[in-house]
Amino acid sequence: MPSLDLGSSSDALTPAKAAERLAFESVYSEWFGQVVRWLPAMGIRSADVEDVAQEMFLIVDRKLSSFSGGSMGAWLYAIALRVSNNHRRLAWVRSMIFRPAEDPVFDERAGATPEVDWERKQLAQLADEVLRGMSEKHRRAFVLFEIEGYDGSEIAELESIPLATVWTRIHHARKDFAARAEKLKAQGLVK
Amino acid sequence: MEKLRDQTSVPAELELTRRLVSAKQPTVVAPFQKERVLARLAAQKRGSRPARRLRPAGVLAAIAVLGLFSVASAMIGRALWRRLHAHSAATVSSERARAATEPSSAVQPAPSSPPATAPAATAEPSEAPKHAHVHRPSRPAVEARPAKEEPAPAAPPAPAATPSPDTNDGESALLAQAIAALRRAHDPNRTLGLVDTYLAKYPHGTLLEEALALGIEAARTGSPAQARAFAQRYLALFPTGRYANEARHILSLSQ
Repeated sequence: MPSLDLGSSSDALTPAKAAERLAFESVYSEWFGQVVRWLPAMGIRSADVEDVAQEMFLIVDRKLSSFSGGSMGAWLYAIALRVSNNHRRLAWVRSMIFRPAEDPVFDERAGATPEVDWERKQLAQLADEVLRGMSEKHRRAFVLFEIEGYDGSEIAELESIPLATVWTRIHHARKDFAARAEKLKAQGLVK
Repeated sequence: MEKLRDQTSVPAELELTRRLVSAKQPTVVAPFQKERVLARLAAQKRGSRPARRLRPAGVLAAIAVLGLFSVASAMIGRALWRRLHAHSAATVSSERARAATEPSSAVQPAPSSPPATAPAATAEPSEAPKHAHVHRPSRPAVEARPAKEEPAPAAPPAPAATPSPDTNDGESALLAQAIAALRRAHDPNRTLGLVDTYLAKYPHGTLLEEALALGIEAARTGSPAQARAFAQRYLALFPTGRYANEARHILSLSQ
């Protein structure tokens, strides 16, 4: 991994700044994979994940020195949530002026036949449509638990809520998701 | 709680949910994605952002929307300005029209005015409207219109604008005219005439004390004898009145 050269090369690093940079690099290295998994739960399209992650880690770099301890995951998650909300609010402006980014290739399932892949994509698109209609809290809990594979306690720590609340949210989210999926089925969009 | 995709059997109402959820794959970090974002971060910190591909139609649409918004704002602003301007112009013109009609309407009751006020009005026709209790929005408009529309002073507006002494407030109106003739027009003769008229019409009027005091003041420079006469009459009627000292002073001057 290349080192993060956030300053100009002519800058002389003080020991404190060097330590800060090292701290950021370690945070980035450790948490990037997690952040990329959180963002879809926050309603970010896979094509926009890199942009939002970049925006988020820029804020992390700026604010890392003000991190006062506690759960680093919850701190990063809160930043990601704010950045995602801002991104979604302005998404329509960006979509009108800029071309949408191409879908990343890593989203493809390796080794799938075209037929299976096509059917899976159809279902995944329907699932996305259902998820878009759900409330923020339910969607985050549902996606993190059912799709991204987090367990209840991990979600509770990230969201800074009790574990029982996580289970309640997942329970309601399942019911909501099922009701919305049944509507799609009634419309003939899914067999 | 077990994840739906891990359950061997699920209730029928959750079967479709499980299928849809299973179609969604967990997010995995793509090869070089981490490095790519890191490089973009560094570039952004240096101030260079990767250029995003613009959508020409979108840019044009945005420009069109901004243009329409600007035009609409300008039109609305212009309409508001015109409306405001028209309103103020209408107000001014209506006030001018009112001012112009006032003298002509005041002419109508002229024949019924008593002859007692006629001399005063003819003596100073332009002064009379000032004392009338009529609303005047602007003086120049009032004074200019009669001069333009009625060059011949055949029908002086003053008597009409003068409140009739026969009315209930005629007593105070007559005295008000006398005060105005002295204070504003600096015409003591007219004041004396009006005071005489008052004394003739209201020998026991409620404003008799003020009328006599006004007579003293008007006569003291031009006709001292008349001033003394007013002073004597005042002291006879109001020996402890508000103007008694002034009356005594006038009498002492003549001795």
